[in-house]
Amino acid sequence: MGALNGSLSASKFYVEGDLPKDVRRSYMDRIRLRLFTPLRVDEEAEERVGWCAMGQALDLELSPDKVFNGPYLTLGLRIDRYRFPPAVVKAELANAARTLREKRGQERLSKNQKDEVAQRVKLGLRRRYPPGMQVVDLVWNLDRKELFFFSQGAGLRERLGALFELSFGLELVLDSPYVAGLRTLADKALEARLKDVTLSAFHEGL
Amino acid sequence: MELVDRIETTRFLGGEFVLWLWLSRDVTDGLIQLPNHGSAEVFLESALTLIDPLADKERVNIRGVDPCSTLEADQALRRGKLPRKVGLRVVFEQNEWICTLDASTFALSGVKLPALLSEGEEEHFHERMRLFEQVHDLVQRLYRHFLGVRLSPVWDAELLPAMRRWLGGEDMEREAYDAIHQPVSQRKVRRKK
Repeated sequence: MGALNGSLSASKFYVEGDLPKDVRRSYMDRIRLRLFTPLRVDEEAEERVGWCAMGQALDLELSPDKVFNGPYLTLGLRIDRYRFPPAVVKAELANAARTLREKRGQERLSKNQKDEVAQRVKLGLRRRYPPGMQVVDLVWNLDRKELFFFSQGAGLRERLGALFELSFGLELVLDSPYVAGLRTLADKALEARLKDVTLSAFHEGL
Repeated sequence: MELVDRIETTRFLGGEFVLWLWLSRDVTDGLIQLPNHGSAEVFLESALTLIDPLADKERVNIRGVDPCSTLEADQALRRGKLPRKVGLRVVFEQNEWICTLDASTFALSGVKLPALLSEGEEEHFHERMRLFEQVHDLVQRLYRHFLGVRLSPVWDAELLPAMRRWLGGEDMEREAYDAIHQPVSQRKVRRKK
């Protein structure tokens, strides 16, 4: 489920901080710096996070007309990760180790040989299986300073918070009864009471 | 106290808010007057999760047409549990939204929007977002209305005792409900009279 089709499920954030004067130019530059770049088979990194076009995980050619839509800034958060089933890795390692032992006529492999086997197995698996991909839409209303992230997973929300702060230099505050209260109450006295409010025992005496 | 701590220690307010919606459903058939914003109809339906606010793992999940009217829901409330997730149907200005509210984060999921009228990809997206923002605004206005009473002296003096009686099986009169939910300014005027 994303922003463009079907029913909607999202986490709501408030964006803390001031926007730059030239939002479009400034933010396009910043977005391009954190654009998603696909993982290469031969590199060390096992995971990569970055921005892509909203609803288009493979579209990494971002332009203002794709990102800015009326009052909204729209992006996709893409996370690619190499993750192989432990049973497959174990079987591949055992097979590669046995082959090397037989080839060298050794009963046991040295630590270096074991590391080498592990590297070769990892590379082989990466050549055979593409990384897993997760993509989540986000829609940021620049006028309201509110952002909808179309996932409610705590892990994904954390990844968003980190990349968002790096990209835009602004903090995201997740909605909650306390935050919503502070945002919505116009009365200072009520705000002060919100800070000291305690749980009511509704079932007392029942 | 740090902001993070305050956020965590006041999550129960979301559960109390849903319980207040539940009371409103019973007393006003879900019709809630929003100060300066007309009225909204709020129905609690299809799914309800209740948790013990002091022991998060203690939870009761109920699914069905009217989960708030079940014996399980009644018993859970009597044992001190509060709503955590609830299915909502909200009607405002001839538009209807169906969704699930997580009371601890105010996140809405499975939101079914009113019928979209616009044509064209861009207009369609704008209308979806506008309606999505609108249902969040509605929940926020309802919450503000609740907080206005929850954080006032009326809570301890009138509404909390009335809610305890309601949980005990006693009906709450519509007049009493309306009097408690009057704006503070009007309440003062009534006293002066």
